[in-house]
Amino acid sequence: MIRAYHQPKALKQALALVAKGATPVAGATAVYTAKSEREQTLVDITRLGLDTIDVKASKVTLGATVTLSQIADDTRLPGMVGAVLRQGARALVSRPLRNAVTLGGNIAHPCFWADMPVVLLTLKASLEIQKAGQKTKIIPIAKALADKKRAWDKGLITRVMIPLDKPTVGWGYERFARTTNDYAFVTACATLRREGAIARDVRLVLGALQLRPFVVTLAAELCEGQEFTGHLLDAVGLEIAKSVRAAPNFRASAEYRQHLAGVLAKRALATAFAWAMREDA
Amino acid sequence: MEFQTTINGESHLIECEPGDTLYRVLRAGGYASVKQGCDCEGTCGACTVLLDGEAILSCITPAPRAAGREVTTVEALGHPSKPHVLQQSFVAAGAVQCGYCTPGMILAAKSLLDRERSPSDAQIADALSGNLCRCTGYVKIIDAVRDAAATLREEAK
Amino acid sequence: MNKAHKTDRSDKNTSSQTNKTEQAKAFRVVGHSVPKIDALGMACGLEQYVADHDLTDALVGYIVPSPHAHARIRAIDAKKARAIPGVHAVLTHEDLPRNFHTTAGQGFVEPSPYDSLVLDSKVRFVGDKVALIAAETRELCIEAARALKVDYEVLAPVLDAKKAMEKGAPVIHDEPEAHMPIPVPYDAKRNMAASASMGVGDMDEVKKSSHLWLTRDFSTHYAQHCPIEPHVCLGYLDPRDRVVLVSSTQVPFHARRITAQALGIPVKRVRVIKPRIGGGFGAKQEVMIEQVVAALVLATRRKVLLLLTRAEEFVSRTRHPIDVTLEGGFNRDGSINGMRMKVLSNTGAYGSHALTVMCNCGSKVLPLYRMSTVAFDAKAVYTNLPVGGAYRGYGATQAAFAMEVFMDEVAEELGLDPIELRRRNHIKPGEGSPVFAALGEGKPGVEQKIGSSGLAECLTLGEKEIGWWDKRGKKLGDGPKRRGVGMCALMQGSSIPEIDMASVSMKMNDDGSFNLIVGATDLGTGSDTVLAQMAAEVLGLSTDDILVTSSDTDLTPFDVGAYASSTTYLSGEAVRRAALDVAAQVKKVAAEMLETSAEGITLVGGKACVADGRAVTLGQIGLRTLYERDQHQIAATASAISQKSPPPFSAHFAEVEVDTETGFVRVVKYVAAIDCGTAINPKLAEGQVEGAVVNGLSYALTEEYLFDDKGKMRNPNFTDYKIWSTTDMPEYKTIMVPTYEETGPFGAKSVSEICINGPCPAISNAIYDAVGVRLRDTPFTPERVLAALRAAKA
Repeated sequence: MIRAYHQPKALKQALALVAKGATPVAGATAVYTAKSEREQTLVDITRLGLDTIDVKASKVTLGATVTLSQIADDTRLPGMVGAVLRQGARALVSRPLRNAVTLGGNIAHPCFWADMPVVLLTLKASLEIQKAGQKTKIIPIAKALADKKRAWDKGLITRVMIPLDKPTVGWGYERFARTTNDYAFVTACATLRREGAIARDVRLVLGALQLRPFVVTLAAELCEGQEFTGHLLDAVGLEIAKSVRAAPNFRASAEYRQHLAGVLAKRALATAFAWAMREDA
Repeated sequence: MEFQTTINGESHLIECEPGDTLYRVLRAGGYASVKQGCDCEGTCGACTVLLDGEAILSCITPAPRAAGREVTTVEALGHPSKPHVLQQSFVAAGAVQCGYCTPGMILAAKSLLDRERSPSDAQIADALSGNLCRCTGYVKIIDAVRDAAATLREEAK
Repeated sequence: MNKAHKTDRSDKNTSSQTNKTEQAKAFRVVGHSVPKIDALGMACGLEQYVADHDLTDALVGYIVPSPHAHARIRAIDAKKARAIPGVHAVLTHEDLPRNFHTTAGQGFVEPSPYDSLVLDSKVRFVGDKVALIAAETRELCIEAARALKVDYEVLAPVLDAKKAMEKGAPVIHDEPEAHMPIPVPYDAKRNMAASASMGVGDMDEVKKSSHLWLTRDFSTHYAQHCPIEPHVCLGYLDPRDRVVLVSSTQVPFHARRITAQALGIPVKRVRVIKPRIGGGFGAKQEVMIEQVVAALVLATRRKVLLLLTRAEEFVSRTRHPIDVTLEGGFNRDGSINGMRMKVLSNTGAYGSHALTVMCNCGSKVLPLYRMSTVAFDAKAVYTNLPVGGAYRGYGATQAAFAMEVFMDEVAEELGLDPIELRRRNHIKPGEGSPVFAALGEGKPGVEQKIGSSGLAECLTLGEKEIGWWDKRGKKLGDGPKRRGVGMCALMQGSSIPEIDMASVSMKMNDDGSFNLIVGATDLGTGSDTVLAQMAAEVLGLSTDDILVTSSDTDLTPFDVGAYASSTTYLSGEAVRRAALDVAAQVKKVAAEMLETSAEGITLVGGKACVADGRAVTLGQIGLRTLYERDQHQIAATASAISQKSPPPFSAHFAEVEVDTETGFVRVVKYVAAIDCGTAINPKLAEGQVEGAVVNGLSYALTEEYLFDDKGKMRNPNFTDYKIWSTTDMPEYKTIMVPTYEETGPFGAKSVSEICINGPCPAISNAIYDAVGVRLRDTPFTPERVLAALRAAKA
């Protein structure tokens, strides 16, 4: 039951409304598919100029109301970071849905099938959060996702920053769903650096297993400094499958999804290493 | 609440409830080509319209989102005495069976062809990925969009 | 995406076939892909569907759903609900007559049990009707539903078809009035909705004397048609107090009759009109909501719109889940000594289509292969689960899956190529089967010999297109992914012989155009167009000159409706006859005008012509007959029933890639080769093939009903019940193989159902080729494939 729909043109107005308990909407898909009977006041934040993408040498900055279509289609997003961002955005296959869903909304609304948090966590993104009458805060996404309390409560995510100051890394991305238009059952995103036959700075994120994606530190522990062989990967996959837990989903058993996690992790890491070899060549 | 919007080139002052969807407003306004089929969850695409030329799912779009912007439904593209190339291509290719998904498909295709003159089959499939059809198996729908793109390129020469 | 291509090669079977298919090429309108007559209107957003009609002052209709799978309604109190302002009617079982009927859209006397009421004092599946409400908004309906006081006696449900007939199982239809209206076995006390059997020859002898005797069990699963437009019906009283129902139906005449029966009002008080409808696929071969709407219209005297939600659509009508056991004896050369098919069909809470779907398992599958000993043994049982109805394929889908995987297994046992095994055994023109006569739809069937068959050609062309010999048995692939190819052969039918009737009227207008008024029901298939093509062909006109009105029980003559793949074959024949009749009348008048004999007149290009070059236009004839001389209306009505059900034939080939680490099966390429006789409109025929194949692919791989332990469907939405999008499509090809069916109008048979039967067996067989696991239970979801792979390794 939506009591009022506001369309402020200034961020200050929007923050004031949100501070009083109004629900911010950008794509609005979350609110309109939920069809909650709860009384709500909505604040449409799509007219605040938060829909730009800015590329600098050291970082990429995306406004919170940038749509997944904008990201998926943006060839200016550079190098590995750009490729990973586009991949994450394209994971939402339905084009008209991509035209509506925004980066901020995909982060702010906790649901296990959100694809952008997976890649943002892999890329060590930071969130700019603004609240009425308070100083702007920058929070690493890892912290934001791990915290039980939402850092943007009564405020707004306004921008997302992704650092570009990395040495050449390879990346891999795997997503398992039943059809192309299905939500993911497991997503794996990996980045790493290559030193000869050895992987360094291995970072693996698994999504869709729990409400929020998480970093699998086990991957780094098992791979760091090791010769990167098929053998190693098989072992890593099995260990990861044993170590992760899947939240219940009536469409697939937990055991299967844990098994998938191991397989997808292995494949994402393998792809990342192959990329890294290509980049170095 | 009230807001001004342009639908199919005509300016309208819309009066609606704050929580109304664009779908509801369009149906109430007599735009019968806009359909629904998934309990307004945004999963079937039959409600697709263009908002400033981009395909969106009107059943999960807030009506006020259209304020100051341009909404296009398939009625605007053409009529039987003067159909749009896409409408003609869909007919000629055999891409229309029950016709229920057709308005949404055509609009999704229009949005693609407005930004991509020579789309690959993969790009066509991507543009129509949010529109379900149970009748055609999509084969002739893809044919129709490919044909329309070729015709439009020809006409542009 | 490959464009479909039409082969010009004709059937090699007989030279008369070759002549006829060559002759068929001379048709001017038939055999051409003329635009579907309503397609442009649809593309412009102008054609009207039910919910696009004038809804001013219409009330919203609502069915209060049962939360229980099995319960008695001990008491139901609607006082509070009725008192809510804006609520115009709340109907309970106490308000309606107890007129037992079937909801199955079938001809009278229906071969389905009369076990349904508009409202009963018992509910039999989660979602079953508890009460009916008409109110000014849907919100008010729901508020009224919440205000309803229902005292349920919850009963133990039957959720497993295998347990339905066990001693002590809860009896789902314990009402004394439930009965079968035709004399066939029916035992509601044991939850048996139907049973049928036939047998020819001595199966024990076959078992003893055959080189190979094989037995295998198969199962198929629940699915929903998912028409993008759910069931919807708009009802109102006209000024003469008749109930008018504008309905998204495949069976307007059955809807009229059964609605009248259910409410105890005369048929003449009901009118059913079908506008454009958004798909049916069999879901709408059902009289399911028309009587509900009529009841609310009569109670309120207002216009009422009932539109099912998608969630309600999922538990409206479904595909019957069927267990099939096949056993048979084979010789070394692959020839069949005999086969037995055993069927257990889960018909859900009501017996609509229970007997007929079950019988089709045998009648549309067993005759495909030559065998002198054959047996069929089938039961359909009630469960407290969603109701099985008519779904494209209609039993043949389920049984063809079993048969075609079974044949693949037989081929392997005998060391024969699967395609070769089909070639050695499939029925050929001139041949019959003991099954045709023995197994009809509840009654004995109709003996027939095959007239046209392009199956041999389908096998050859499909085999080539998929690259069979380069891929079969090679297990190509890299890493954990393995590829394989599989195939299947199929038959279906065209109409229900000696039972179903179609009729058509035509009348001539001032300008030489004709009204073609048909009872036949176009559900998006394009039947209006195909029938117009036939009339145009006879009259030497184009489809622009044929104005089609269809499916209005007041205006159009009778037609059973769109099912059993009958419209082209049966309604088409009625069109052909009516067109010949008016053509004769036209020629008679032309002869008078041209002072010649009628025999010397041909109708071509909108004119009636004589050999010496003189002609009159049909427009001139129209004006003369309506206004000028010997004024009379040139018109005709014709009816048709069929004497046989000539099968279309098809061969499907699938290439799959199995990911052995995840169990995911990707369809790399799919080929459907089809003989439908003359394709009256090739693009529309291909469209039927393609739509059926893609539906069959998602049925095989991704569609699934998930129930909780109380019989409630957990995924009644497109988020969790997966049908395919453009981005799921494999490389694909349709191959049309023309033949000429002598008994069909212009050589046509049918095409609408058969191809949905191909994907399940073709993919199962391809998976076996890829990874050596045999999947005999659908769907082939990744978890099940992976489990099968693990079991095989163990």
